[in-house]
This record gives sequence, structure tokens and C-alpha cells, in this order.
Amino acid sequence: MVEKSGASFRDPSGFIFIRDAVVYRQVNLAGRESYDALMQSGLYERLTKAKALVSHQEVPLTFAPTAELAYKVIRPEPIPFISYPYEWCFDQLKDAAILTLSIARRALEYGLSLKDASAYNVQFLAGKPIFIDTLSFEPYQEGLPWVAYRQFCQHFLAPLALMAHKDIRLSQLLRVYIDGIPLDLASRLLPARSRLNFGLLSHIHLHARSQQKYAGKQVSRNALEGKVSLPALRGLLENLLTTVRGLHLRSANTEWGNYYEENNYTEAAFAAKRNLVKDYLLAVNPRSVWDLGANTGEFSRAASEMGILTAAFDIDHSAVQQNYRMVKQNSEKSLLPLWIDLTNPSPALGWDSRERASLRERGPVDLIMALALIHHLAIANNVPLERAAASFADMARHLIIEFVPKTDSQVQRLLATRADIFPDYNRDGFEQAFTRHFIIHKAEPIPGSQRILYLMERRAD
Amino acid sequence: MACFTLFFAPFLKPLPYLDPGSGSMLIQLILAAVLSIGIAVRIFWNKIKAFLTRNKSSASQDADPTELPEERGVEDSPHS
Repeated sequence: MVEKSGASFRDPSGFIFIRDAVVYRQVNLAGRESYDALMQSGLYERLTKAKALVSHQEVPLTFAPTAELAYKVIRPEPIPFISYPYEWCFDQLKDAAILTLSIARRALEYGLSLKDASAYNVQFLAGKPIFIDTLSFEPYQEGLPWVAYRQFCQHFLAPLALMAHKDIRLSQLLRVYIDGIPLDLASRLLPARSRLNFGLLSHIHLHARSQQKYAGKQVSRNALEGKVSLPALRGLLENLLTTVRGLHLRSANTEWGNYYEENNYTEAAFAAKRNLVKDYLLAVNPRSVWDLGANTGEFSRAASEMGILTAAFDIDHSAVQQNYRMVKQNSEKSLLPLWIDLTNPSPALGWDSRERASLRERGPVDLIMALALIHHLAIANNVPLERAAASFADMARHLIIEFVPKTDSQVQRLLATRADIFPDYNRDGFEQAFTRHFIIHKAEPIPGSQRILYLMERRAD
Repeated sequence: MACFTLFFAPFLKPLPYLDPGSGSMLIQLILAAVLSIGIAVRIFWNKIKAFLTRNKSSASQDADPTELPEERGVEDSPHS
């Protein structure tokens, strides 16, 4: 079966399609010149060797869904989990921005220009950002400005600046604006002091002003030709790089930042829980895991260290940021931290609601872990236990879940400020709700705590 | 109805069609001119800095992800 990707339709030089669960890209005759330039200039070899661009293999043209338009069909290296910029922490978005600019700068050395600087062209593979759009290059024409400048500023610079200078949550505007944050909006939201930064003054504030001034006015190509020399274009890219590198988060304590120091576990109980999780993982031997409510990834690593591809979701930005920094520092290849609110996970977005997949559409996985999570869903967020079970059963075949009883101090804390309207929140109620969707294989008390760790498998029906 | 239209007229006026492309292209012409000077100054400044901090390794956050492993740690970029 062949299916065209809902996200790949803007660029006439080619498109992505999926055939028998394998991702391919058709290069159209319209993209021939650009594709050949990339392959023959040496840039492809350079970027793939540095693992900055996904490698690919050419496959026979008979694979092409629209053969009359096709020049080549390529099979890119698979990306196990597609993530989006509104799911990345600050450092992930910043690294993706640095990668994009570095590729644009490097392309010029090979006589090519990066024509597309969309944040959606970057994915995370083996712990690092990688550029995935092989057709984003075109032969460089000396003298012309950078065609992807606006896109870079909207997709990367504006959200990074807003996160660093205003509020971390403003990156969520990327969910609303599929082509990046409008610069006039970014300019209005940024504090006045951001005008003291030359890069932000130029690339956001003055850029937005220029957009407004010339709105609706056509600029002929002749008026632009010869106006931006190669050294000047390099200067522009260098300045964008300096601006991005100069953006840093102001440190802030959050509710989860020191969760591991303030929870109910003694060191021994913590180790026992980790061993139990490992035992369960070994029993199932999954290929892919989602850790829901992963915090800084302590237990996600029980899976990823076994070589299991693990996505670690958390609602707390600083936990995700800390997790990503550890991934980088230790060159971890199997762990992808993502900033996701499970009570409001990423929806399907874009044209026809098919450009960006919802979180659910990117599953199912072999196993999900929900450790120290159920009380947050059931008590803090009023999700009935049965509905939590149904949702987990949709996401994965296997489930490792920790039941946290009402007597636990973490649950007491949640109940301290509200009425206890949860008469079924107890071990029996929990098991009753979950056995409607799952078979319980194991239920072990975690030594040194009142909690129970379950291994469950979805019912066959 | 006429009153309604009159009252809301300023809000109902269609916004001008935005063509951010033109403004984005044109600001680059200005920035290009400014940054050409800037980059010359920067190269000169980097040389002074490199001379003063000769023995100190560069910060790892300035790493170029398109660099090949064998090039890492090399001071000079291949740019002309």
C-alpha cells in the first residue's frame, strides 16, 4: 500500500510517501537540478558523514507513486519517533536552530543555498538533531538574499527569544502558528530590553517593522540581485548564529525540579523500584517504550540503557531540559526527552489536520511506563481510572504502572487543598478499572514504600 | 443594521494583504551592508582574542554540528 504523507505537499521538487510501512521520498523532475547539485557537490557526503543530514539510498524508479513526474526515488534512514518543535525543550530548539544555520553556512562552501529553514525539517536521531529534508537545497546564486531568512526567524529565533526573554511557555505559540511565530507578534511580546540586543533588534524588531512597511509591495528580483554579496550573506548567518547562541534560559525552580530528593523513596526503595522496572522490561523485551511522566528520565534509562528506543515525556520543562542535557552529556543514543502535557497532548495540526500528527497517531508502542503518574491523572486531573486504563490500552500492548495509594504523602499533598471525591481510588478500585482493559501479569509491592508496581498486558479482544 | 455596520466599520475593514516576503528580503539588504563591516571587525577581533587565549580550548557550545569528527579541535575554519 502506498500513501502520500499529509505533511509533504508544499515543495514541487518532491514529496514523502509511505509504502509498506517504509518511508520514501520521490524526487520530481522539477527537483532534478537541486538534487543533483546536492549529490554531486560533495555537500551530501559531508553532511551525512557529520550526521547533520539523514543519509539515503536510491531505489528503483518503479517505486515512484507518480512515475511521470519522478526523477528519483530515495529511501531515507528511518527516524523512529517524529517529534515537533512545540514538544522540544529550549535546548533542543536551540540545537536544532544551530544545526540549521550551520548547514546553511556549510552549503555556501559547496555552492548551494538552504532554501527551507523550517523547524519541522529537523528531527532527533540517536540523541542529536538531524536535518531530514534532502530537497531543501538549491544552487546558490551570488548576490541574492537568503530566501529562508523569514522562515528561520519565525520558526526558531522568535520562539527562542520569547522563551529566553519572556516566558518558557510561549514556545507553545508554535502549535497555533504552523509556519512559525509571526514576527510582529514576537516583537510586541518581547520586553523592551530585548531591543538592546543587536541580533534581536535586527532580526525580530526591525524585521517585523520592515515586513509591515513593505506589506503588499512587490519587490522585483532585479531589485534584489547583486545586493547581498557572499561575505555579507555569511555575515548574516554568522550574526544569526551568534544571536541564537547568546540566548539562555534564566534558571528557575519548578515543582518537579527536585522531585527525587523530596519524594517518598529512600535510596534503597528507589534502587528496588529500578530493579523491578528492569525485571518487567526484560520479561516483555519491547522494541519501543514511552515513559509517561518521566521527570528527568531516571526510569526511562532503565529501558534506554537496554538499547530500547525510549521517548520520555514530561509536563515540566526544566525536567525535560535536564534530561536532554544528560542525553547530550553522555551521548545517549536511545532516549528522546519531550515536553508533553499528557492531559492535553499534541493534536493533529495543519492543512487537513494531516501535516503534524497527534501524539496518539505516532503510536502505538510496545510498552508504556506510567510510574508515579496515576495519582496526578486521577486526583489532580479528575480522570476516572477506567478512562486512564482505556487510554493506556490504546497506546501500547504492555503497561508498567505504579499504583500510589491515598496514604502516600504525595497523594496526601494533592488532597490537602481539595475535597476527597475519589471513593474508588484504592487498590481494589484501581485493579477493577484496569482489568477491564488489561490482564495483570505481576503486582509487586515496592520495598520500603506503600506503592505497588504492576506489569499488565492489553486484553486481546 | 446600518448603525451596526457603521459602528463596527473600523473593525470590519479588511487587513492589508501581508506579503512578509518583501520586507524580509529588503531588511537583509540593510543588514548585509551593516554586517559586512561587522564581520571584518569580528575577524580582526577574533584574531586578537585567539592570540590572547591561545592555549585555552574554545567553548564546546560553539561546536559546528556539520564539522567532521576529525576536524574537531582544529582552530581555523576553512572559510576564505
